[in-house]
Amino acid sequence: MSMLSGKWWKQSLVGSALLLAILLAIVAIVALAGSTTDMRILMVFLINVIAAISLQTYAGNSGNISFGHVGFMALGAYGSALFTADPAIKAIGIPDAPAFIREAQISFLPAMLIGTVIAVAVAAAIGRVFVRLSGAAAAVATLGFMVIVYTLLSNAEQLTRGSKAFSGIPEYTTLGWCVALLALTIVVARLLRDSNTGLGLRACADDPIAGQAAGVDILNSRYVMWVASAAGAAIAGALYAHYIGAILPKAFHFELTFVLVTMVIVGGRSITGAVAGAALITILTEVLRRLENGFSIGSINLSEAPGLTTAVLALMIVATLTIRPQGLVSRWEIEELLQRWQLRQKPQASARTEENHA
Amino acid sequence: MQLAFQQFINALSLGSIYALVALGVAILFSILRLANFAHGELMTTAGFTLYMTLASGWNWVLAVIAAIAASVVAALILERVAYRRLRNAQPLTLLMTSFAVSVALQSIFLLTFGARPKGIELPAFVDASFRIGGMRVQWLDIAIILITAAIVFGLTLFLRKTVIGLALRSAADDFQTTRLMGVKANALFVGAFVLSGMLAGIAALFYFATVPNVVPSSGFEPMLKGFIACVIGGLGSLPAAIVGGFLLAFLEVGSDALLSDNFSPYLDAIVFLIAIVILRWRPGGIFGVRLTAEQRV
Repeated sequence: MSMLSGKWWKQSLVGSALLLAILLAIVAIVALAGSTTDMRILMVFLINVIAAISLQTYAGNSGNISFGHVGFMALGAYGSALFTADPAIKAIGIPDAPAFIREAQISFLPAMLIGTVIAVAVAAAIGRVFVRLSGAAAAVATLGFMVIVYTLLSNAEQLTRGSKAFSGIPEYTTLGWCVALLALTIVVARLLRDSNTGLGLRACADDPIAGQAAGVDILNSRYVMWVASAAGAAIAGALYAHYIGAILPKAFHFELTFVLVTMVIVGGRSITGAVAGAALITILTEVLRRLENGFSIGSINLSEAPGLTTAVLALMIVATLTIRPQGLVSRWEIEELLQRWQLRQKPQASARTEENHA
Repeated sequence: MQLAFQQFINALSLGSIYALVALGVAILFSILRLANFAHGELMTTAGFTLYMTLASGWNWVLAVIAAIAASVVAALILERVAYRRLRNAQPLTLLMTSFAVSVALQSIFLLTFGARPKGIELPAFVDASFRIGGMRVQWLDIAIILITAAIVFGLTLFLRKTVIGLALRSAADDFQTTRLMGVKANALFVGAFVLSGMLAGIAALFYFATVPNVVPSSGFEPMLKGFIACVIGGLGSLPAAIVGGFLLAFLEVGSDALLSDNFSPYLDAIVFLIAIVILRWRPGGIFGVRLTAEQRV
């Protein structure tokens, strides 16, 4: 850590800039050379990266997984969608909703803020329960939370049209919004991770007794990360709603939970890991989808086989975890990975020069 | 009064199913520290076996045996293919693997059987009922309660009185020392998975007798309920899992009876919320079982 700078936040900013530079390069390549489909995949990828980094802010620092963040995404999505959709559409779709929602039509940023505030309020209210749990109990309880949000949304027909799609959401989400909010998420996540709170919490994830003995308030630190990560997830949810234009509770259920948690676990325990995991999962999904459309094995037409992509993806994840249980980048951030790579190069270089002398 | 009695029987029968699922989950967790999210898919395996065998005209006794066998075999395959290599992995990696296995199995079911619900042709006696003092009681509920009681009794005897049971209990306490005493680790894994698979199969029989159709994602709901039962009882303890299962069922039936019909779609949300409130005060579950150093926070 001292190699780059004594001030911890400088390293966070350098790391964020490096990560952002790589992502911007990907964006530039796809924007210049990609088709319309590629652009759609890129947008979903960027939104997923925001969600994955947010989840990582809780999971990577606390060592606890959360299966509940998709619930926060749903709250952000519905919160933002309800206040932006055309009142004429809402008069038909949700005629029984309160007037202040039915007649509201505000712009993107305040609507997103409303969605985020709702998610943060819920996270703050229930967070104290989840930060006290760990391991499998935490996973199960947060999964329960996700099901609570899903049940509420798919039955509150007056407000959300229940399990039917809530459509007519203005498509505000542009590449610019995605990149700007992604940059914000990365910087905030890195600052939180490298701050005293994040450092102490990560120490406690490795050794809770030593960490607490050194004065880390594990519950409060986890609570901070929990609430912050809920905010990030809600922003990703709002971006998603305003990108697709129609949302339904089923979109924020088991499948998305699986995709997000996989990105975080396969990637490793850092912000860079969340990005790497998101990239790997997106690439795998797209390759499988294209194989599915392009090939047929014998008489079996693979494009008529729903579930095959998911099955292969899940099996590949099992394989990845078996081969590399610590995740793609383990616990390292991008600038640390570069340092380690340089250090690995140096001894070889010096060894080679000695050989030349001899 | 009559209604209350009927609700009581309902809750006992539902609680028996939850308790069986929770037991299956708790056995793997207590012995191997593995939270097996694919437990629900073991139940779905039994459900599809039941559907196929009954649809092709098998005798129901054979179908029941086939369903339980299918779920045990599935459990053994999972152990061999997915979990054996990960014995020394991080708990989080294990958790994630079981989640991925669960998704993979669901997709394979979708691929094989399609998304449409498959109606299980239950034998007629499932609907039979009798009357006591004006109340209608289903024989099925009585059978579920009695068989579950017998299974819990049998399992207790097995764990307390046999050498295999002793080995499993000591592994739950200290896996390494148990190995040093000459018990093969693989044998422990296989034993735990066979027990868990059997419990999943039996729980699936009862579950699909009450909800007689099966879809690829059928196992998710009972699995989640079983896990929540384990967590509010106290993860890692078998008696706590049973108590948690019955508590969850009584909460569910009780909320349904007390609240107006407007709330019944929200039942799951209400029950889970109560469970979360319980966890707020007792993070280790009601029995607050002894936690290992890494878990004690």
